[in-house]
Amino acid sequence: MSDVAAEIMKIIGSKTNVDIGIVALTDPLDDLGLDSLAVVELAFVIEERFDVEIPFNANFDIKAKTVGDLIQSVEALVAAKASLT
Amino acid sequence: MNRVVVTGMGAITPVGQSVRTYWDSLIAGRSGLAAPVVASAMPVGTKLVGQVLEFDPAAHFEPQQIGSLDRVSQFAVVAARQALAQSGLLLCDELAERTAVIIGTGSGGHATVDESFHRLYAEGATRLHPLTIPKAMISAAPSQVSLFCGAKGPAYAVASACASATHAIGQAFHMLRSGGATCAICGGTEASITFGALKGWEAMRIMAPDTCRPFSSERKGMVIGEGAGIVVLETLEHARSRNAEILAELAGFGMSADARDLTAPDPSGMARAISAAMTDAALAPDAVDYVNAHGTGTVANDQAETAALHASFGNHAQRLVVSSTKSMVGHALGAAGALELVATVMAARENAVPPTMNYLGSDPACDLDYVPNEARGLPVDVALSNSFAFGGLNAVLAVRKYLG
Repeated sequence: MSDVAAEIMKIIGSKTNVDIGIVALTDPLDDLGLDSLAVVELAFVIEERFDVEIPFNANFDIKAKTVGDLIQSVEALVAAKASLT
Repeated sequence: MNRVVVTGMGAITPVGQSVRTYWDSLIAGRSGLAAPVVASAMPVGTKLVGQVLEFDPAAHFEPQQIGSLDRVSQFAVVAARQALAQSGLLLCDELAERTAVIIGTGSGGHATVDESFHRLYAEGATRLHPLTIPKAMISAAPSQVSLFCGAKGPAYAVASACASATHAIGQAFHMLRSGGATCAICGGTEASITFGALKGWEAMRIMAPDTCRPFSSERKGMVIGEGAGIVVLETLEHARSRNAEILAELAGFGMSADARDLTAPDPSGMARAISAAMTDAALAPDAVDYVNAHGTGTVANDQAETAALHASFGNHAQRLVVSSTKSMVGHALGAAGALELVATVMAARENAVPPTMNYLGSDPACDLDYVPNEARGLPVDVALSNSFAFGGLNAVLAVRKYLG
């Protein structure tokens, strides 16, 4: 697991009641007991932690997103940022 | 109990700064949504707002008055003057003391707060304008309306976010019905299209990147608006005694709280407010011709509101005519309910309903008649105006055509 993935799992653990030991990358974010506002708040915490901007709209971008999707998009944003500096 | 009627209306909106221009724009399907004009060099991600452009304070106020009025109060005073002028009321002597001012706003003098704090935190200013606090206070608008109109009865602000204006009008309705006042200047005002507020809205990630298309397939969120709507209410007895022109009867008011979630709407809470308004007005579901919906354009609101209308109206829901004027002016937050009541009263007066613009096609979760993209001529004898706020605070007004 990458550092980014481990950090995101830790953040998920701090924002939910889910045991991150049993969270799979294929789990939909919906299944973590996160409603759309909680997902928005999770994104904010991740953005602050990695100083990136995750583009999504709570109206249509959340359904069908998995934990793995979230990690992948943040890893890509972090990599893109690193390549700029 | 006294019956209560509407005898004057005023409106400051992105599509017109009078009730007539506002209404004509709504019926023409004219949009007031455009890129925001914000006094900040910082980037704003918001693509579209419903802003009142070309509002000139100097056209309405003396130079020495402008410094004491935040934009939110300016809107309210100008709309109140329009409403009072239409009503023909002269607030002198005893009537002034029997006239209430109850005005809703979501965030009061937001521009004053934003600008003042920016001066302190960012520019290192050491002092602020002496009227910073009385300009910014949430009750500034009702205070200024009472001052400018000479209304000396009960006066206060009502805050319930996006339902503020509807709660304010409902409070005034109750007060007149029970005899606590004879007339009321009531409604809502909002002027919070500021850098700080827009960043706050952006952070919720519910703003539409394209436009506001309530109840439509492919809707992507809400568009923030601003403005003021003010109505003059009076007891039927008082209006009759002076042969006033009666615009409509305010027939009922219902309210409820979801007690469930800070932002997610709850169809059962909405339905309780809708049904309470109909019960209050002694209306059978099939008596209602038109509903001016809350219809924000978010995925969640529009499907919850549709479910609530089904729950409250049963089989009649399929024949109900529903539209969202937010598709043209955006969501004016604490002013929205008043602007929508003005549109609802006009619908009953003119037997026409405004369209829901930007409608692309039906969504399986939104299966009612939303008057897509074109106004419709329709006899409107009874109509509802829905407002549902963050925090799960719901308020619904019922309007009945006044036939004498």
